[in-house]
Formats: sequence, structure tokens, C-alpha cells
Amino acid sequence: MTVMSGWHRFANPTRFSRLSARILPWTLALTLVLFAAGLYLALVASPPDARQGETVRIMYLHVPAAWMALFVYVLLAVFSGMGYIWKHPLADIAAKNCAPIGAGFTLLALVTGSLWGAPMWGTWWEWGDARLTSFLILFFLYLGYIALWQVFEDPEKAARAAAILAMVGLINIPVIHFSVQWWHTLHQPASVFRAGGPTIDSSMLWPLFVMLGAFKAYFVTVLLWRIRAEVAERRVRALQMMQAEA
Amino acid sequence: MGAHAAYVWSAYAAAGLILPVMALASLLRLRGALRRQAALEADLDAMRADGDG
Repeated sequence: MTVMSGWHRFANPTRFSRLSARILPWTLALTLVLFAAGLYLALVASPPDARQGETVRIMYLHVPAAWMALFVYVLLAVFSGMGYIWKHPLADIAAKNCAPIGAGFTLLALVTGSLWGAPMWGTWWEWGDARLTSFLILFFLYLGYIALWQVFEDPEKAARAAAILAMVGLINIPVIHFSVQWWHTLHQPASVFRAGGPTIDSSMLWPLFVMLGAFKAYFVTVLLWRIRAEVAERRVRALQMMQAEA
Repeated sequence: MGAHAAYVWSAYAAAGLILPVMALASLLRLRGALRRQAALEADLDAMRADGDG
């Protein structure tokens, strides 16, 4: 079976609802366990930083939120592309429901970044910083994408317009990633995924990865809830039309 | 936690607000949609049964 035929089989809304209902209790349990472990490691077990002191504990929220904000946007663009090319409604539904979660992660990364920046840099926000401003643009891209879905009454037109925005907005992702190398910024350069390995001690790296796991499990859970809800809402609209015709 | 405790707790409070609210809103939306779907399907089944009778 090819990857595409596998996708089309899985992308049947009824099959998807059945399968996701079976997966969801596990992803929810994983989310709760990973968050409990991650919060313990982040707030209790991990040491304070030699320079930043206790403020470094903001990293365990800020970094996973920022990574997830980027990851979800790429996923949203991939789903949008699949919906645009193959016109598969479930791909459009998946993309549409990625957006509010991605916007939430982006907002969290911006808020925690600001709360980290205030004591460390002496400022809540710096407009001249390429990382900060490109990340703010990501937040606006998410909001624009969500707004486009609301503008059109026809879901097919909305999906196409939103997909174009999602795919064009993809250009911002490498800009965010490389902004700390291309321009002089207040924001520190990459310290985990970099050539030469991470510069963070393993006592801090492990809590960071556990929190990243918690964020990922949370994303999968909430996304599956939202997709199932949207599939059910579309079924409700179809049933209401059948009822009106009967 | 030292001089910067307020920043750290504010960050965790923000996460404690944003993530659960987003999850709860999604879960309530799903529950509502599934309930409406079940009610409509039951109505349609009843209508079909009446028609057959």
C-alpha cells in the first residue's frame, strides 16, 4: 500500500472518527503523565542556571511552546497543500483546526519570552530584534488564517484562500529559524538543535525534552478533539438538511 | 525562588491559563457536536420508522 493510498484510507471521516476515539484516551493519559513529570523536573528537580538563576525555569515553557508554534505551522501548511491539491475535506479540516492550537502556542511563546526578556535583557519587547518580530508575524499569520476561514461562507472557497495564505506564510519559518544567525539580535542563537550538539547541560536538557513531549501529546489530543468535533458538526449540518427535506 | 520569582510564576500562570482553556473549549465543542449529532440521528431514525409503519 502506498503512503498516499494509506492516507486516503485513513482520511475517510467515519474511519477517522472511529480510530481517533480509540487513540484519544491514550494520548490524553500521555499528556497528563508527561506534564506532571515535566513540571516536576522543570520546577523542582532541575538546577538553577549559574547566570540566570531561577529565571531559567521559564525556558521549559518558552522553548517547547516556540518549537510547537513552528511545527504546527509547518503541519498546517502541509495539510493545506494536501487539501489544495487533492481537495480532501479531512486535510482542510485538519489544517483549519491546527490554527487555533498553533496560535495558542505562539501566544504562549511570546508571553513567556517577554517575561523572560524583562529580567534578562531589561526590556519586555524589542522591535529591532528579528527573532521577536518574525515570531510576532507568525502569530498574525495564524490570526489571518483563522480570519480567512470566517470570511467565506462556502467552506471550499475558504479552504482554498486559507491554504494559499498558509503556503505563502511558510516563507516566514526559515526566517524565524535563521534570524538569530542572519541578523544581530538580543535573542540567543540555537542551543539545542545545532551543529556540534547542544550547549545545554543534560540536567536541563532532559526536563526540556519531557516538556516538549508533553506539548506534543497535548497537541495531538486537542487536535483530534477538534477534528472529531468539526466532522460531527458537518454531519449535523447534513442531517439538518436531510430533516428539512423529509 | 529569589528576586525573579514573579516572572517565573507569571510564565507558568500564563501556560496554566492558555493550555487548559484551549483544551476545555475543544472538549466542550466535541461533546456538544456529538450530542447534537446523536439527537438528530435519533430523530431521523424515528421519522424513518414512522414512515415504514
